Amino acid sequence: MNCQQYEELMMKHFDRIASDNEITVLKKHLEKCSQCRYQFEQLESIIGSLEKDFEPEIPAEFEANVMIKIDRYENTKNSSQIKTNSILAVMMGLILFIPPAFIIIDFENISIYEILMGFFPSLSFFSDILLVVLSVIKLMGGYISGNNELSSMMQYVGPAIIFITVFISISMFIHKVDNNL
Amino acid sequence: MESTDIEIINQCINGDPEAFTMIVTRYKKLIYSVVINMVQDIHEVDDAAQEAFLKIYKSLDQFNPEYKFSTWAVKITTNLCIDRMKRKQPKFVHLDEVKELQSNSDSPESLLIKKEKRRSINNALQALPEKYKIPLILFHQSGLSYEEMADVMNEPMTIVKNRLHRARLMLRERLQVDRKE
Repeated sequence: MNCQQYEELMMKHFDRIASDNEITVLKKHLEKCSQCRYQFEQLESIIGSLEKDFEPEIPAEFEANVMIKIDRYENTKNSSQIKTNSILAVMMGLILFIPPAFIIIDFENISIYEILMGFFPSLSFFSDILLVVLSVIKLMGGYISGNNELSSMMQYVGPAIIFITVFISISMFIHKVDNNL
Repeated sequence: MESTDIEIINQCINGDPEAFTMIVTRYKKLIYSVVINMVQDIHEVDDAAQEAFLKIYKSLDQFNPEYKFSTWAVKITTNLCIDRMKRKQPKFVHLDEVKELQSNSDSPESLLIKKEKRRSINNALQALPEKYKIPLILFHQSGLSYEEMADVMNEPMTIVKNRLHRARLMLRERLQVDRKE
């Protein structure tokens, strides 16, 4: 065996997989070869230092700090889920609400001025929001019906908006179900 | 009887994050030993180790019970440390701030010599390219086997073995150069 091969034996020794016989063979060579002995002693010292002379001090509060981070993560995850659920609920509500609203509300008898003037002192918040939304729709409807080009496009916009809203809602619902699974 | 890793993981996945404390206690020394040699700024070691556990927690549903949990956890930690090293400028660990194993039989002089030796080894270790530094840390500091290292590094065992052997020789050469300087 040459020194290169004894170097491989050294590596097996430091890997802790050398057999007793191999260690004996290596030690015999090291007694005779000063170069290999020097190399072996240096490596032994370096590896010994890497493995034994150093132990990090872990702070006593380490576990507690990790659990705080995990609690924060869990809280953030829960509030994101609540937000997603709320958005889904609003979108489903709009899909269900808008078409009947167009059918039920009599636009001819709504006065925009009266609605706006009535909004600010009113305490029935959600009803007023609804009326403002409807009056904006009426304003837009009035503008669009006066414009022939826009009027002809409107027949496509409505169904397209509904389709996109349904698609997004279903995608979000499926994504949410996947996450829970 | 102590719960197994997989039992604790199932508890966490089923809505009991507090059970993760047992995992942290069990593996904090292992994770810390990986982090402290890869994250070179001592002030960041604690934060990086906590972040490693948080990442492990977030990934629990991806753990394959066919594999050893410790290997999987070290893999996540190693990748996290590599990402952190890429983002930050390297600075050497200040060994003064890290507690060292003190033997009752060590005189102040031998402690100082040990400390200096450890400092120079650590500096030489940090100067090694990542692909050689990591196997040294994982084998000699974190106590992983070749199979585990191959799994962590996503490399065949023969390559891991060659790199570890090469790393030892490089470390020795580096220290010889430093001594001459």
